[in-house]
Amino acid sequence: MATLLDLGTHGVVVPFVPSLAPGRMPMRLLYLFPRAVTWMDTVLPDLPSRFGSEIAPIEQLDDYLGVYCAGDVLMYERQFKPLQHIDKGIWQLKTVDLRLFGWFHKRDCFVCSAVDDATRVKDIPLYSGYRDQAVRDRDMLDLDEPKFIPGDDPNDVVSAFCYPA
Amino acid sequence: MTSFQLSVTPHRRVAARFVGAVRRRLQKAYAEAAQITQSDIARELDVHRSVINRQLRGHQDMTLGRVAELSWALGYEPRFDLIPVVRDDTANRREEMPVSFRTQVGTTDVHKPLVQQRTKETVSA
Repeated sequence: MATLLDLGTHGVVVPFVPSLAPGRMPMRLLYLFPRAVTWMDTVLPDLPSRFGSEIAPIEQLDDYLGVYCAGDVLMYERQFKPLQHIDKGIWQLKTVDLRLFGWFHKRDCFVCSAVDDATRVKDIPLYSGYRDQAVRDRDMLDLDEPKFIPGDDPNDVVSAFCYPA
Repeated sequence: MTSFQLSVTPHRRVAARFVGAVRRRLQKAYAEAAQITQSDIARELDVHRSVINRQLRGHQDMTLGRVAELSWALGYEPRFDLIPVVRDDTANRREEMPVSFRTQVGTTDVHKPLVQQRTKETVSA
């Protein structure tokens, strides 16, 4: 059994380092599976926005993770959900053009199994496939129990989820 | 330990975070204005409701004019300000302070000089 820190030391998962404004410290954590890192390194930089947005998907993600890692409020209005439960404790973090799939090991600590283009995920669809992959990743990971926070209430998995916080 | 960081240029980072902050501020204003619907806003601005939905969700870009219109429809008047980039000589790179985008409740008296106006709330990217 190991902590995420131990697994990160051995390269099983990779800690994400956010770029935050001066004086701000990370209040939420993100760990990435190597396949997610590879996708972010090789596919994401050149991925165009399917919606013709002036903000490219990699920039959307940088903005999103800036908010997430700073511990700021994630959702102001229920129609615009930045975080959504799929099934079996698997969640998706959402930007306009991206979906990150994974689970919360502890509150404010997300383990990302995979990342993909949101339109591709919706059109094929790939939700169940990414969910099942994340469940397998979680089961196979030599991580301290309990491995994840069960349930579908976002307030259980992140602090300051919804305004008012 | 290996770690990972997104590779985004500083000027694009500032742009993305500013756009995101503006949209989130509008979403917050919309959440607070419980009695105003997207249909109400669409009617005021003479556009289809789906346009308002897409722009608040970030699925469609907003012009500066549309940001002002949405602010007004939600009972606010936007203001704009620039904060100088702070150079930290002890660091290897400049520490960039974000552009601030202010909103102000109440009067739309355009004759009041902007320099005399004080805002109570600042949204930073």
